[in-house]
Amino acid sequence: MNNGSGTKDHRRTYSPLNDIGGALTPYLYVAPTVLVILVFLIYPMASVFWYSLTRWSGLGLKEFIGFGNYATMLADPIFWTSFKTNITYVLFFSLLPTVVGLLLASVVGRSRIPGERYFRAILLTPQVIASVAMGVIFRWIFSPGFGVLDGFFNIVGLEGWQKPWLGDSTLAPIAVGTIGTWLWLGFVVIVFVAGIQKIDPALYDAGNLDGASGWQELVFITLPQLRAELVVVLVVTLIRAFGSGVFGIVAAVTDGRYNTMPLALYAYRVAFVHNRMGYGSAVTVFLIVLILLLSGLTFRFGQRGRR
Amino acid sequence: MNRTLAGSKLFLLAMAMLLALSAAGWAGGQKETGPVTLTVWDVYDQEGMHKVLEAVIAQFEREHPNVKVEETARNLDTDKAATMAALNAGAGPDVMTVNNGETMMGPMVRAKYVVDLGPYSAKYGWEKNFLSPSLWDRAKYTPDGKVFGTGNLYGVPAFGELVGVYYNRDIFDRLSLKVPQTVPELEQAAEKLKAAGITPIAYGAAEVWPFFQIWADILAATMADKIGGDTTQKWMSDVVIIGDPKRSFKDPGVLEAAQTIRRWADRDYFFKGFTGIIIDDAMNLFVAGKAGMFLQGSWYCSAVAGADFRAGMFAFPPMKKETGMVPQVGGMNTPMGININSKKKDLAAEFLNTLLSAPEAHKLEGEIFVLPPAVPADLSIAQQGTVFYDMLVQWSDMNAKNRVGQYFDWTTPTMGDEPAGQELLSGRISPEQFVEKMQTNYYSWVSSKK
Repeated sequence: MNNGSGTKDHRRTYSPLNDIGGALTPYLYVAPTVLVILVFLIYPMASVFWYSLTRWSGLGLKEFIGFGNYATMLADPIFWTSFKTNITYVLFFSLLPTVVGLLLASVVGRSRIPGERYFRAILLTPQVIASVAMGVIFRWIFSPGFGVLDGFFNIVGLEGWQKPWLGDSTLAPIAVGTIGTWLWLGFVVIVFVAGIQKIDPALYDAGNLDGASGWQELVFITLPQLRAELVVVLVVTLIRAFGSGVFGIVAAVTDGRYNTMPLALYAYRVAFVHNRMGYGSAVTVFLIVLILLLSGLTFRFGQRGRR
Repeated sequence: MNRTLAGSKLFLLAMAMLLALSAAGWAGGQKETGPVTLTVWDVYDQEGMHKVLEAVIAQFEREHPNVKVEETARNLDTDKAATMAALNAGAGPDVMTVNNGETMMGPMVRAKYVVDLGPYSAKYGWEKNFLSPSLWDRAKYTPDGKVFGTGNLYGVPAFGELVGVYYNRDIFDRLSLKVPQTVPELEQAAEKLKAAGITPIAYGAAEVWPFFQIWADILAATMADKIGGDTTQKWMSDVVIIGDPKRSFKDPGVLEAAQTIRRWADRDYFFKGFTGIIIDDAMNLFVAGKAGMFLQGSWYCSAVAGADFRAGMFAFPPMKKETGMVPQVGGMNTPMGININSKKKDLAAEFLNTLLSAPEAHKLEGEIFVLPPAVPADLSIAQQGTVFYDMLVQWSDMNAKNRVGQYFDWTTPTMGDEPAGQELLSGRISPEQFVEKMQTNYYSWVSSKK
């Protein structure tokens, strides 16, 4: 370190407090963050894994049963139904917004739109609504008694389209899925538009010279350039399709009835309502591993092809 | 740069010391000097019930001048989670919610977290003066926590509960309908309502628990028709409370009940698209005058009483008049018990006594239309010809005749999530398949318990 004074031993000219730590100084600085991560992330995750190896009602003593809960899980038909429902949510919360968002962004992304800032704000509005509030609002929208959706069909003379959207085992997961699409489409469009605006126009000029069609432009120029944005969009929406977002929405809109139960809500019910904390923890561990795996694979996909 | 380094190290050190001091201060500040504090965690987050609780607390503090009651109301799920976490940490309130059966009471008893209230019940005369014996059974467990419905008393309720048939007196008068005395008469009334363009029965099947209430009343009628009211009463407590594996959902009357409710759905006795309507919305539609009847619980009484029309309530009728009153779904409101970790158990028991008997609170019940735990009910707190009066009469009747039915979602830990009822009503499964699913759910629980 050059402080201009020319002295070699800095320690003699500064406060003895500087002696605190010494070689440990960098560790002291990261200590608060590490502590927070340990206490609020690592410890709970380790606890959940430990609970998953026990039979425990949530009160009193735990009984160690090894991987018994995992065996129960694989044989539990409700677990598999929830898993399938969650796949439906992945489709609506993640894949559909990604594909549609990409198409929309490719259409509008290259040109400057007047009032762009306001459009961005509108597109992001669903993100600021609490998931429980969203669930309640959509329950009203889908309500057969006085819902906006059925009311609309009534007005335009499509009475046959009026259905108990949330009261039918085939329609309900789709109805809940559309909430997810509505929630994430705006976010996806904004991320992709930002990504497209970064793309060097020279690439598109070169493509034009070669006579590329709009579709070829999208697949061979736009998409490869959007690899990073694609990873971000997929990871964020995938996590939400399995975790926090879908939990709040479903709990408020149908409470998991009529085939709408995602894994996270099932884990909660099993642990806190059925008093099977051990089994609920096993389902939770499964979810954690699944999300880590999917995120990891998505990141790997993002790394491939990077020069 | 090193000066800044030293400065920030000093800062870090100071923050760490501050954190440690405040943690110590917080821990130390818990001990009190002066008045004794009694902590109560309850689930009376609803305005009406909370008013009654406030009156109870006011009376209790008057009678115990050196005691301050610290009360926290939460909804059922949140209270359960908070209580469980506190109990596991060896802490928690003095008086806590101990919900019946396997929801909370069973696990709490097995983990030895609740106090046996038997001695207090004997001292204050609770079981002698309030509710009826079959009701008290629903707050009992054997000391090892293995058998529900017998043994030691672990919870005491602040209110009673029942399910009845609310009806719109104005609509009934307009269509010259009489209060049905039998199920066939009820169905005739439903047909007349339908013909007049009014939804006969307000009901929404979006949730599971309301299904078990409307269906259990129908079950009581169809079963009592075959084996009589007393045996039906016993069958229901054998299934819901005891979990007797010799009882079965394939017993006579169960299939007929499934067929009846399915018939009601197919005949459009409920709202259009009712499978997607939650029970709160069904209640709102009834209160808005959109249905003739509403088969639901005493907790909705104040909402119904506030409607623009004259409302009433009648007990769910038997198939034939001669059978007499059939079991009506009902019981006690979420009971309260004493935490084993409490250092003021006797004081907590006195609070529970006030909860059961406070006269000020009791009078308030007449204003808020909440069912008292006392039977026979004091009819002077209600006006004749009102829905609350009808409800009090039904409450007294049910207890006097030993016809307080059961909440079938208590039957097994997963029954509250059982979709068979919704599948039956939406036409996905037949009544036979419904019976099959209920029996599978029931049997897998009761056979695993032994």
